[in-house]
Amino acid sequence: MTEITSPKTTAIVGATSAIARAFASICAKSGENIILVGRDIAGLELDAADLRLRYQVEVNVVPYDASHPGSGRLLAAVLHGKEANFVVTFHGLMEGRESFGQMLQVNCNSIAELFESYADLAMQAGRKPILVATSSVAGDRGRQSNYPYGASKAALDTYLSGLRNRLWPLGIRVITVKPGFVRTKLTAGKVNPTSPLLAEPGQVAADIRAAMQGRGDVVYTRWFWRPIMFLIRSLPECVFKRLKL
Amino acid sequence: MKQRALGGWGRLPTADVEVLTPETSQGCIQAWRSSGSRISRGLGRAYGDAALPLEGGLALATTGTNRYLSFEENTGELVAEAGLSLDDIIETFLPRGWFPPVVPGTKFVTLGGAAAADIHGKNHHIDGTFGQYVAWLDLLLVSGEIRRCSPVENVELFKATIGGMGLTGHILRVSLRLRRVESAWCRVRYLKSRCLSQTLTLLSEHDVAYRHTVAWMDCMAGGAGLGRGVLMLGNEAKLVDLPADLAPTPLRLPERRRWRVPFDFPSCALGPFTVGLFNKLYYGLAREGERWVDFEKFFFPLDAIKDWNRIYGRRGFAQFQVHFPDETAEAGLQASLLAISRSRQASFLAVLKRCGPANDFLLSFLGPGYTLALDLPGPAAALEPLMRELDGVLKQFRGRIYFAKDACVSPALIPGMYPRLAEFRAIQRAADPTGLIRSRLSQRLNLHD
Repeated sequence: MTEITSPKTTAIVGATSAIARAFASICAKSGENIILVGRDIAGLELDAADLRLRYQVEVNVVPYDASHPGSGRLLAAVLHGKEANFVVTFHGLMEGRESFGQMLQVNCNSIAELFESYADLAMQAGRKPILVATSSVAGDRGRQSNYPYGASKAALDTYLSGLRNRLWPLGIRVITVKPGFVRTKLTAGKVNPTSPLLAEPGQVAADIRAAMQGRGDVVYTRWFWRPIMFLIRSLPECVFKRLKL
Repeated sequence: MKQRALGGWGRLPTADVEVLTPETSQGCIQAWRSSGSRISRGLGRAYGDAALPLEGGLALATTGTNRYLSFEENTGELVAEAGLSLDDIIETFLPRGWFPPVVPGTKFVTLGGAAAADIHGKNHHIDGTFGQYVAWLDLLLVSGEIRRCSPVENVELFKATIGGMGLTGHILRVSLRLRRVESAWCRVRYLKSRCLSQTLTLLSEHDVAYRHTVAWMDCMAGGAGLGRGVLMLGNEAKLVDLPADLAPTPLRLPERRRWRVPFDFPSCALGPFTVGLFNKLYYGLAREGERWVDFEKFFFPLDAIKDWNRIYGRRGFAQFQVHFPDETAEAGLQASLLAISRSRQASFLAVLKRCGPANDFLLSFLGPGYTLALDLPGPAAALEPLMRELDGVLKQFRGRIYFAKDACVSPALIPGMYPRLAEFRAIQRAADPTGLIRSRLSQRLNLHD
């Protein structure tokens, strides 16, 4: 059980996403200071003003573009300076086949750079942060409709698994979050809005928060994606290749 | 995203509608560039079709844009995006001693919606309407321009936009002056009245002494009991007046169990018999006297039951809210109540309120006199004879209906009810020359031309 006592500082990377905004509210409501990290500084400043007024906590905005290799390391140094107790990433890129390299950068490499450097800095300072990255159920198996995205998330999953393994003895937790369909810009028009599988951003944010307070390593949200993805992973490749998914 | 069977709070009428809910003002501006017909939508608490677009049109929802932008501690001036709800404001600011200057019967309305309907509350006779506390608003025009409208800037547009039911443009941001309160409690006096004329007399007698007044009326009681009711007269408690058990945490609302209606009731659940029984019990069990009542329970009694509109079942319901001027109030109310009780269209909640002076907004609803609001169970076809009868009453006694509630009034009556409609139309046309902003309400009642 990780005790979360205030005032701590939570860094939220990719903070303009709907899930990130809901998550920031939950953290600020419980009295944590917030660092909003992202590209859209003007938008984040609006969110920061909102959080300050609502919850009377300290909120900072840090510019960051995950598509630039090396930027993760710089961000790690900035967040280290602010002694973030929790670093939670929400950013992601979903594009077509031609953009696999970019997706690898944004969805995996940027987080690897950030977490790797941040863990080293925290370790040297004797701090034990929690590192949380938002992956996706799409990383569990490559489907013809979305496999480059899935592959970039699979790379992230494997990376986080190893990082968790390495940092466990040091008391630094690494959590992999695997959301299914969430009602966001990403799914608008692609998923039936009345689908029972579609989660609200607020529910996903609450699941992530609960995982940080609990002991989980890999969190499926909503929970039913765990059995669903178990079944999908269990299908033999000779069957799976014939499916239209 | 297409939303099935979207309606107002009364779910009469409903339609399959394209709804967009951008999370930023920038997103709203982009969505507003579309070439089709559109109307803004908040939390969908207008009862009828005020926030339903025309066939094939777009409902641009503000609920994704709900940020606080600034707050001035000295003056109480709040600036926020238009999708922010009064519920949210109360949760955030009541513990700090601030409250919205005017609240309707539900806190689940947005700033934009409250401005567009120029809502009123139990304090209308003292404090007027919501729009009178709007310092300014930012209006997104069809042209893509953003105009700041206030009592000193773009005044004409401001006067048409407050109460203008979203027809002049999409409200992006609102600056509202909150009011200082010392506690979250009201001292409420309950009085019972035996008949309509006594209800009216009591309401007007207590106008001055109480900031918040309203009467619940039993509109199923016929004969001499017609219009009998329970008056609720409240004043906000000062710190020094609070009893010892409330004084230590004066601004904290008590925890309350929340109920929720989990499914649509069968349509037969609310018949004249059950509602008549409920009304008799409510009246019979009501006790006169003074009590401490917290803001939540006093201002928003029905908010404790989530989705209460489902008790009317799939058929939906219409709300009839009418205003009569002082001269014709008693006769007009009497005729309305008679028509309704004769029709056996059951209604739980008939609410009567004495109003204060009118304001300068072109389509604002209230002025001196009384306003009555009640639910009428659908479907629309079953209501038709009663509504046409009520049209006659409205015409004879100079009654006016409230756009935020209406679903079935006769369009021919509107110009007589709203004498400044022509002025409104001219400003609307100038702001929207190609007629892109349309709701089912505006089309049905021809609020533009």
